[in-house]
Amino acid sequence: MNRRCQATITALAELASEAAEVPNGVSAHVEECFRCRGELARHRKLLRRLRQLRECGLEPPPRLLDQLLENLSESPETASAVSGWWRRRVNYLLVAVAATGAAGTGAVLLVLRGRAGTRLAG
Amino acid sequence: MLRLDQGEEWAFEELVRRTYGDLYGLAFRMTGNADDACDVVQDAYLRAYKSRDTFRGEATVTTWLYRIVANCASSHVSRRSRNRHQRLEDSTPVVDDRPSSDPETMADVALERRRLGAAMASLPPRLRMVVVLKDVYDLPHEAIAAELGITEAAAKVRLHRGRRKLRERLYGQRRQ
Repeated sequence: MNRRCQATITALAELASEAAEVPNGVSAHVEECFRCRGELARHRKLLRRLRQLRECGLEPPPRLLDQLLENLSESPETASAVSGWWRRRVNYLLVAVAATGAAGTGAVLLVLRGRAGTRLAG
Repeated sequence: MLRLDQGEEWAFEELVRRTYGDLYGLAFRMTGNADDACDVVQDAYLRAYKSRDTFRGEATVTTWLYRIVANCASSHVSRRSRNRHQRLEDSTPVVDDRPSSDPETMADVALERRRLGAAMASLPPRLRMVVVLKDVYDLPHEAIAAELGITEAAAKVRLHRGRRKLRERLYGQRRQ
């Protein structure tokens, strides 16, 4: 590797990301130097792959959203901002309790009706 | 458009719903740890809400949130390294499980991403954070420097070093 190549190495990352501050002569050297052209190709490949990382989302933990909203609703500063979530959560719990109650009552009635039917048959 | 700047508070919950996955990704890549990433995202939303008046609409809401996450992650990592006095967890691989129609191509892509994820995770946190913010999330040097509490020159140096280390880990060292 000659001195020109060494001087070029530090500028290659800028050249790869097409930033404006590429020193004069670097582009010209890369054009004629096989080794530096290869190095530039590696830079570009790395940058391309790094940019693609943003598009491939990392899957957050399944309960993260609920935890975030719950914690935000418990903080005095943000409680009002997520009050909609809190109301919906309370409504959901009320509906769940009501549904459980109704199911329980239904089950008891069925059992009682079954017993009454058994007695009549006897 | 979420109108945080006009005090419409209902928008905040919607903002959280729309952005939490993306912010988690950034926080995870900066901290290299799922638990820390969750804490950082939580802090970031609290900070975002407190400082919502500072959002002027010059940048997108996402960029504004990225900067807040960057700042929170930087503080979190510094605090963690001060408190624990141990080497930060740099070996956590970044896993991407997105489905694809072509299993063979997907296997190659997944393998490449795993290698890149492992190389990123093996960088020292101060280098990794700059590479993530600049090369993955495309934040300007000025914003990166401001949120990490360093000078622009230091941000550029860290970026250069981070990229060099990544290249070495992925493709080997350049022969002298």
